[in-house]
Amino acid sequence: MPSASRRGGPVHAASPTAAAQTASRSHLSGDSALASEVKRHVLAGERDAAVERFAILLANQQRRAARIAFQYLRDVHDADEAVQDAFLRVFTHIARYREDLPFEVWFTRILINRCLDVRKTRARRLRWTLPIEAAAPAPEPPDGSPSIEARLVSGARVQAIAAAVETLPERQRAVFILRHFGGHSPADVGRVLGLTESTVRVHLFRAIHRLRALLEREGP
Amino acid sequence: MRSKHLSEQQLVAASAGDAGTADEHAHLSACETCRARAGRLQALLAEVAAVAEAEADARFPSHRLEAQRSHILECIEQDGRPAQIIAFPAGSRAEVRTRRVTTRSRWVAAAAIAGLAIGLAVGRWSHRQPPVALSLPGTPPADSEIWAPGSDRPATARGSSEDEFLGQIEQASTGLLPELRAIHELTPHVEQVLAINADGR
Repeated sequence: MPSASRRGGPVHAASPTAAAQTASRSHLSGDSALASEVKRHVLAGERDAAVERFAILLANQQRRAARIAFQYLRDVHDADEAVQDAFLRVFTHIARYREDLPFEVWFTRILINRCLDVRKTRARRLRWTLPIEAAAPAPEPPDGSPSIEARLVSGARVQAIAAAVETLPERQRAVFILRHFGGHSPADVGRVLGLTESTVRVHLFRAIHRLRALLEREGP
Repeated sequence: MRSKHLSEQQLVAASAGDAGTADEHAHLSACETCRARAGRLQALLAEVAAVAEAEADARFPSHRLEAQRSHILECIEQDGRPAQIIAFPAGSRAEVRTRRVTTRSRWVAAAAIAGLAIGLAVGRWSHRQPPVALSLPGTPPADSEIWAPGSDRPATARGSSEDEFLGQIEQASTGLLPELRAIHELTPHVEQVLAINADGR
């Protein structure tokens, strides 16, 4: 694996797993600066340095990207594909990155577009083929014992929440996912989806109203 | 202070952390009902977010993310490598040699096809012909001319396997061990069964 550690990169690049696990909103502001660095290296023809910086950016954003893609697509393999494509596109088109935009907004826009493409492909595929297997069960950690998260996922409440989010219309769901799972402000959600802030608020209100009706009826 | 309770939309905005008007803030801090409503909504949204995060994290554990990261970086590495250039055969000599090879291989292929066709035709023709006894008197019959037991004619090719099988049974029955012979004698023969059936009618 051509990781930053193998290339003798900076200390925090040596453990991308740890970086991914600690990826949180506090990283986001610094990622715009990282993306600018990657862009600068690419434009200067310093590919190795660009890949090294990109590996850190990837580790910082990966967890959040996986969460958004999974909630959007509700399929591990599709989400995996969308995330990989989005990151590859980011690196390929990094020269187009505008530093006046937060990197997270630019990246999330690419990710959502990839998710939409994957969704379209899936719809086309389902039109011609019959699904032969149900959704894959939650993966278990290597030691074989199910994790706390895996046990949580199997709960009825979790299924109810997932089903409720799934019933939201496309736009409402996208707005809700980006606001509540992606941690974007309404203004950033608007920039990602190409909507005005007031439209985002309307969609958000409708989404919450609907979720509340569905979930409060069921009870915790 | 407003006496009217906050609308659903105002409540959602307040729960989402959006800055409302001074009036809304004042009402929310004073009205217990609206505070409770806001609290319930906030708890629901927090639950939804926590469950969604836990679910996604369970589907994408660390080892999966690591594999994904490796794959992305590998793709980028391969994309950056210069493409391998395969030397194109240059000059007319190479072309002529290629053409000769092609012509020879065509002849070989044609001969193989012709051989196959002839083989098939001969095979079909010989299959349709009645078997001919090629052996001279006194010589042991060939494999294709198995003589049916008790007959003085060679069996046809079609019946040979059947006859061979029956012959083997016959041979086995004559050289049976005493224990097996008792069983053999208990087993009704076809002629006996036919005779019993005829008597029954």
